[in-house]
Amino acid sequence: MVDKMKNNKNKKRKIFACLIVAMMFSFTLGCISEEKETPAPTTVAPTTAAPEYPEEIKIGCLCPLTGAIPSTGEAQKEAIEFAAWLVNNYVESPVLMCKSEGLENLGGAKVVPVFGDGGCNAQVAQQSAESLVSRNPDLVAIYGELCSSATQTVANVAEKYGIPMVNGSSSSPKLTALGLKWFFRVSPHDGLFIRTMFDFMRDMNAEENAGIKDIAIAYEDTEFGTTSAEVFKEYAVEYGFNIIEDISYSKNTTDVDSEVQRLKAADPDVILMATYAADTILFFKTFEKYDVNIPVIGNGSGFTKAEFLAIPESRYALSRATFTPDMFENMPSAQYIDEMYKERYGISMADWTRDVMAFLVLCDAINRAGSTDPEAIRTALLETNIPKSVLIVPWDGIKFDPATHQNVYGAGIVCQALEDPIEMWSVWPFEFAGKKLVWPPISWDQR
Amino acid sequence: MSMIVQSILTGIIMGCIFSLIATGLALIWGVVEIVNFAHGSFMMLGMYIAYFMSTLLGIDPVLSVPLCAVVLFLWGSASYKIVVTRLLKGKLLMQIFGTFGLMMAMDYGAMAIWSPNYRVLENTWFSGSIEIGGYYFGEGQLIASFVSLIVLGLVTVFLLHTKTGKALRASADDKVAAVTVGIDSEKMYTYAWGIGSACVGVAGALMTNFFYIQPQVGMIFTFFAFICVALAGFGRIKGIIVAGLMIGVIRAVSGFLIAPWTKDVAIFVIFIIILLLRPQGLFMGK
Repeated sequence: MVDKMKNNKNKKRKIFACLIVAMMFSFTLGCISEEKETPAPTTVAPTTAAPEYPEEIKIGCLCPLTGAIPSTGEAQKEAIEFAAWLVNNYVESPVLMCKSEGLENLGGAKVVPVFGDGGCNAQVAQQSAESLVSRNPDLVAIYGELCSSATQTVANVAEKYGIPMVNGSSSSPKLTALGLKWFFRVSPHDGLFIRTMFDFMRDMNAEENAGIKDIAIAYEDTEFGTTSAEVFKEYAVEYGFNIIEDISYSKNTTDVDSEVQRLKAADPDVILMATYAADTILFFKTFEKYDVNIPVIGNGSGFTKAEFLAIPESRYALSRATFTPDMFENMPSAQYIDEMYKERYGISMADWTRDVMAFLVLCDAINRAGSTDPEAIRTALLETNIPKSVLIVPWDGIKFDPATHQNVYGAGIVCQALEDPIEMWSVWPFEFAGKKLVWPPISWDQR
Repeated sequence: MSMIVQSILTGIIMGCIFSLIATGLALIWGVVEIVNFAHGSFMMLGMYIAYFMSTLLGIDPVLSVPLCAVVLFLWGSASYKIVVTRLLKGKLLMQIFGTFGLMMAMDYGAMAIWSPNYRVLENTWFSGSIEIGGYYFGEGQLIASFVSLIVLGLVTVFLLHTKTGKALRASADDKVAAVTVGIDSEKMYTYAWGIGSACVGVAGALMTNFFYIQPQVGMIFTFFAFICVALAGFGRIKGIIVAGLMIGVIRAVSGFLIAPWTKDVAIFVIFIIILLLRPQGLFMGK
């Protein structure tokens, strides 16, 4: 009896150990799989039978509703729901798709977002996308995800089934460099965004004598972070800055003490970061702990999220962005839409403006196609040429590059966490700044 | 050199917190012999209790510790009675999937009730940082490690010097012999789940001083707790503190000296080496 129990205990030990090893492998494989190549597009098998004026136009929307950034995913879901509401209801505004009820060229069909969980994870997103397609044979298009690694696998699913896909917030340049046939991106990618960050540093040296020479980079280890790091390095050479510390870390870690200690030891002039909300919170709390007073510029994402701006340590953090609420003052039509958003969700659209815009662009393309035929929608996306006057983002327009399907007019700004309550305010380009830049940030002991 | 010392000190502080989290896991594994994947979810619950005590009633997380311990003890005991007793009748894999299911239910239940948003407590008694002799310490981490040591001491005293504690140890050492001498195994199992959950709940409450609160926050800490238990020896509580400190210091020093991405890799490598050379753990006889 005792021997049997001991054997059973040994068996349990082995299973326990195997489980931990399996967790470690899945952790490693998770990282590797995010690097995998996109499979070649297979034969197009349209999922819709192109009926005459369907009552509903279903759009599969992948958001990270679980995983590392579920709160961000919920916010993205709200932005999509809001955009769909704008399309389906008459709104007295010149903004794209507002002055109609539903898709006029499809008999006023209503747009219905069908949500799936992308989990901010390549595997989860792929499975969810497959599931969405198989459960909804009448799916007309796909929208999402948010995390670049997840977007890439969703784009693979779109390629496999020949479904037009639009993305509004994933920023990895790789996504539009893969030669995908069905994938279109409205938002600027990290290459364009990060150029904004380097242009800002160049201007700081030229106009403010900031003396920026040595920089450090810190980034999470999935697609978003690693791709950002590649672009940081490329532009550092181009702009003549020295990267004196290069820190890659695991997303959603328990602490970032060693990362911050290394940054403090390197003592760069500026720290450039690519992090999601949870890690951004940890980093700034740890910056305070170790009294690190070096200016930090984030590649958007966690830096512009409400959770980060809710902590006092976020004050004076800089970030590239597509938009800040103060810019609405110069864009009355966008401000009107933002007021409706605030009424609905209690907060400004802020950085979600580009997701709302991107979803409107997709709906506009379906409307212009006048059909649910994937090829017709794809052609309409390729022919997109939306003027500045109907946008809610501060770009010169929306037009996709015929080869990469990247919006050629997307551009970024630099903003800083200021005021009380803390919000992101535009500080660069200097001529359009909503607030005066605080540089360098006020030291922790003086706050 | 001073930065290396700083890393070691930081590692020790984090190690104490890992130890407290792992102690609960070790206790449950040692007595009930079930892998509790929901361990991190109990920590999350402790964090939310401390958060709402602070935001709704203005009670500091440190003062919430006793309440967290009591609530988590009751919740852990109830989980055992409602869920685990049924799992123990099933096969081993059923037990594993069962606690995994408990974790999913708690995490997603928390997400449904409190939303997936990240929450951070500000202006707690221990939310800043201090400098001692040129070394920086987060007040939150410092108080968490200090209270962790106190709780670990109390648990040790309980296990070594009380009748119930001795009965728990006897159940962990040899269940058949324990039952033979009249120890109520069912009661011991319930206590183990209760105390194990209380330990990790206390850790959760203390961590709100310096860590964000979110329904799935416990996952990564559970992972390190598993490794901690494996290093110390499966089912052995003694050695947990040393294993926790080892993990904390190795992570901090390798992260600083080699590269931050190596800090988890270093733990994995050491874990595999120990698994190959001493599968029974570092602090357990053959």
